[in-house]
Amino acid sequence: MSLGFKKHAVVVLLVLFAAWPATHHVLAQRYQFDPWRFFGWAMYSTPDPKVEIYAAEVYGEKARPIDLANSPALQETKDFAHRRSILGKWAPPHDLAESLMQHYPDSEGMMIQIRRLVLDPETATIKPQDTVYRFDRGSREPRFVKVH
Amino acid sequence: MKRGTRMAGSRVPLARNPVDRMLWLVGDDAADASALKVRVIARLLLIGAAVENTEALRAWASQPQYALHVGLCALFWIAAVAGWFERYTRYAAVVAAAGMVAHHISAFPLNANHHYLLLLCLALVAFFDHRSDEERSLLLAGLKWIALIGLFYAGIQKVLWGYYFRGEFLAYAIAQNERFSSFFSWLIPADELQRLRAIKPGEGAGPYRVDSPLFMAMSNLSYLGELILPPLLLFARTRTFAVAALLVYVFAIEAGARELFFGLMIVGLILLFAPANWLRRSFPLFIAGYVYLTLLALGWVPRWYFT
Repeated sequence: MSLGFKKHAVVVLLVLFAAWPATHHVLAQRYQFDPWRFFGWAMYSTPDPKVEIYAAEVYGEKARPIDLANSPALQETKDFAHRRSILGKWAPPHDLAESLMQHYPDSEGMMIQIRRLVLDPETATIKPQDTVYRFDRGSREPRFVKVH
Repeated sequence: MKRGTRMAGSRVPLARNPVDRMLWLVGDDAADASALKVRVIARLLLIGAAVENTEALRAWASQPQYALHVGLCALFWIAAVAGWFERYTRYAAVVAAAGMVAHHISAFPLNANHHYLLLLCLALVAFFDHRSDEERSLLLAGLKWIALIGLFYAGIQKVLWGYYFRGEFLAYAIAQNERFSSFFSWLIPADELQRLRAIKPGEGAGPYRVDSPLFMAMSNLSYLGELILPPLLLFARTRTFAVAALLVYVFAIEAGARELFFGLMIVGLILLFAPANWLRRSFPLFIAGYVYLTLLALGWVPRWYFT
């Protein structure tokens, strides 16, 4: 490889390296992944994100909450919460929904609520951001996703 | 690119185009100084990779990838030993960079940020022929720019996320983290510290704010240091001051964050901006740090403040 090629390669690398943190910031806001991760130089810029998971069996128009702490899907739920706190919306709850429907075979569907606890800079208090997924039995894709 | 010509009274090569001028804004070194810097930083990166992967083995012990990481650890140590000898340094960097790629794939998405930095730096060390003055110069320019851009962006990110203007992040960190609360306890009144430490995490928790001018100043200095000091590395007149100030700054951050692996690596990269003697003379301190971390990983010495 010639020196000229190597110089251009370094310049391209540096341009990409300089562009990535700005891209990282936009993506982290949009997809809600952990800003501390993925080499965006945003460590110590935000509190580490906390994620809580709630679920409910669906029967027609009614929903019956699942006590996940005492559920056979506890470990899967914990693993998913950890994964979601890092990857944000890049970790959708489809697998968890399928697993829960196997554990609760009578339900017609499953509601999964993902609560992100974020520090609100205005009030300096922890505020919830909820995303609710509604799954029907037999369908892997959610019927709807609501963000509160 | 032939860089034989230099401006009178300057170490900056006679730049022929804007790209060259930009690349060497971070300063250029005489051939003997660049050789010394490349030798030292390459050794530090290789040893750092070996020590950190040794330390990480404990965390992998319960994982299915444990055998892979034991193998990688052996590979990193072989690279670190081989890299000590100049004729093998580049090959050692190739091996270590490949090992880091495997490590990243295995650890994703739990990768530490400084592992990406380590991979990037090792890849650069592997990419250039260290026997060539021009290639060494290019390698050092690349490493310096990486350090400068990274440090600067750390400040930009703090501004963009907006948790430092009124001290919310530091107040939250003090409330949640024993390391931060012990380090920053002198900054805030005792009753405020007690209040923060008593906040139970969860919905509605807070307010994470402290009414103390000293605390607010420290919070704002956190990102101002990262925004102001790295650009000062671009000017020959302010470079030495910026290096010294950044070293103090990193030391202060490490006192709270206690991430010694990242701290050692970024200090090594910052010292590339200083006269070569600084890096050479501090080399034994780096080695002492890595020996301590190796012994710590083996459980032979107790934890110290920064670990």
